[in-house]
Amino acid sequence: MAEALLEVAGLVKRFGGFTALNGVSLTVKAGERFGLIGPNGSGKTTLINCVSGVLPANAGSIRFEGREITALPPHQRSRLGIVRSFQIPKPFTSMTVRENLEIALEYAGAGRAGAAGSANADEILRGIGLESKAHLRPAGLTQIEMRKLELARAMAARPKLLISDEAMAGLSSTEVDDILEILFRLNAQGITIIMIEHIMRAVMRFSERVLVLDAGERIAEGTPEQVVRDPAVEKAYLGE
Amino acid sequence: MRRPAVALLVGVAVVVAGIVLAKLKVNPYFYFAAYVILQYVVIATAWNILGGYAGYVNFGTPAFFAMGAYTAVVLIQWARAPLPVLLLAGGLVAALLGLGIGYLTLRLRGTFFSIATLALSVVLQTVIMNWEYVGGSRGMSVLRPSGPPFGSYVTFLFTVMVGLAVVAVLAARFVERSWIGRGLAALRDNEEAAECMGVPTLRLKLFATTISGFLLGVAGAPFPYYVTFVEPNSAFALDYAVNALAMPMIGGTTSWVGPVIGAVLLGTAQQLATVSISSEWNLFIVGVVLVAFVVLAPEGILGLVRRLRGR
Repeated sequence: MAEALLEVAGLVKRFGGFTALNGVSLTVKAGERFGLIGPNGSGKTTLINCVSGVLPANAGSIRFEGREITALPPHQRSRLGIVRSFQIPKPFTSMTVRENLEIALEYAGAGRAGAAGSANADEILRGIGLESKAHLRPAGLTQIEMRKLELARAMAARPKLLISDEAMAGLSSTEVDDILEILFRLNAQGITIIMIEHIMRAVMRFSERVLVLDAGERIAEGTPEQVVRDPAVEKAYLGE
Repeated sequence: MRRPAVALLVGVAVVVAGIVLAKLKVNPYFYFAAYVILQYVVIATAWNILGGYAGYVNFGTPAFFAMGAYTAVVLIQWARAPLPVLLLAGGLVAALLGLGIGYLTLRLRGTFFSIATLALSVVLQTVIMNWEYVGGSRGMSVLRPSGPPFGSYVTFLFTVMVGLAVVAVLAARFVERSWIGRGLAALRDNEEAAECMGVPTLRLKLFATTISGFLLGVAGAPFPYYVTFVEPNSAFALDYAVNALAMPMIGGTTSWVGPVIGAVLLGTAQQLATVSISSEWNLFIVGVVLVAFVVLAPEGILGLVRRLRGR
């Protein structure tokens, strides 16, 4: 069995009186394709906000490559190799597409020799099919190009663990295939990927292992086939 | 030659030109007015490091400027400290204040940050008004040291301000073109995304607030010798808050050239208006021009030029 890259243990996150995550634990192995699913409001995005450091956890621990990172700010986590994309794309709007990547390269990617192979901004853009848009501002991009920019920028940070937060929401089915192919390719390069997705077809095809969250608790974990047959999962999605 | 070296040479040339100008002995009012315009070059440039590069709009410019001025008053009162000491100390005190508001950015963003800086200015003005040692609300006269290194004291201060303007602009240019400037631009565009892409946003914001504060304080330090009578209403004048924001906005906030253009244009217009119409029209001019720019050319003169060039 491959060693654990990310270990989350007993993670608790409260917003006032509301408990968004109630003691969630999970382990992601190096090189794995890991799916994270659950109904709306089940705590998926909160979980990855805690893993990426955007939100501080109230309790629990997060370890990355065996190192305790629970108290580290997001920029240090990204330098260690935990990089995320955002559900709603958050490009640097005053910069060109290439400059967007260069920020990630300069601040997060450059310090660490090629976890994802050494690539410069242009190579990453070519790989993802955005090379003709390199000089444009993000405002001139289409929805799918914006999602690709989000992934390309994350790539430029040379992740060991890429967390893709709903990179496919609102895309057409060929566009979904497009993004899926990119993620498969990144995984083949040795990048561990956590995919958060509502599009079941995509997440079931992509993931080797799936974790299901509901109301801030893990209700199932296993291969996609095991998870879809799990009565608890059916109940969470469809009710009794 | 490398570009930073060229910039440095241009800076030195400007200072030399300033000294030559000071020796020319044209109408003394020229130096008096030029000092104010140059002071605004420093203020607009300093403001823009935080407001333009990092996107944190500071309404508290008077607080920083007055910190520089009143630090100088205290040092003059206490030890008749020489001008270089006043500049450095005024800058450092304002830099500390800057570091303080830098930590505010942890909790306050956007409008809320701006309101807090405005409040800071009001609080500090109240403190100064009640501090008798520096003259309280009545203000106090400051005697210029006798025998400036050359010329009259006003021409000497004019030359000093030329030097400060050059230092401020070179500092802003350096910040803008370094990794710091790129990181500030990223956090201005999206702070969360910048942090997640490895940009140490807090450290960069603290750097921006501190250096911006330092330069604003330095601009205020010679103020007591310039006006020779310091009182809270002039040191904490609303003009500084409005101009510091309007000049970069009119010139263009994304580059060091913008605040310089804005300060020279608006500063000159204000000086002309003061002489030819009335001193009350200063802020009116700024207001009208600012509204026009915000509506018609939100990226300032630099943005207009870029658009005309078709980029």
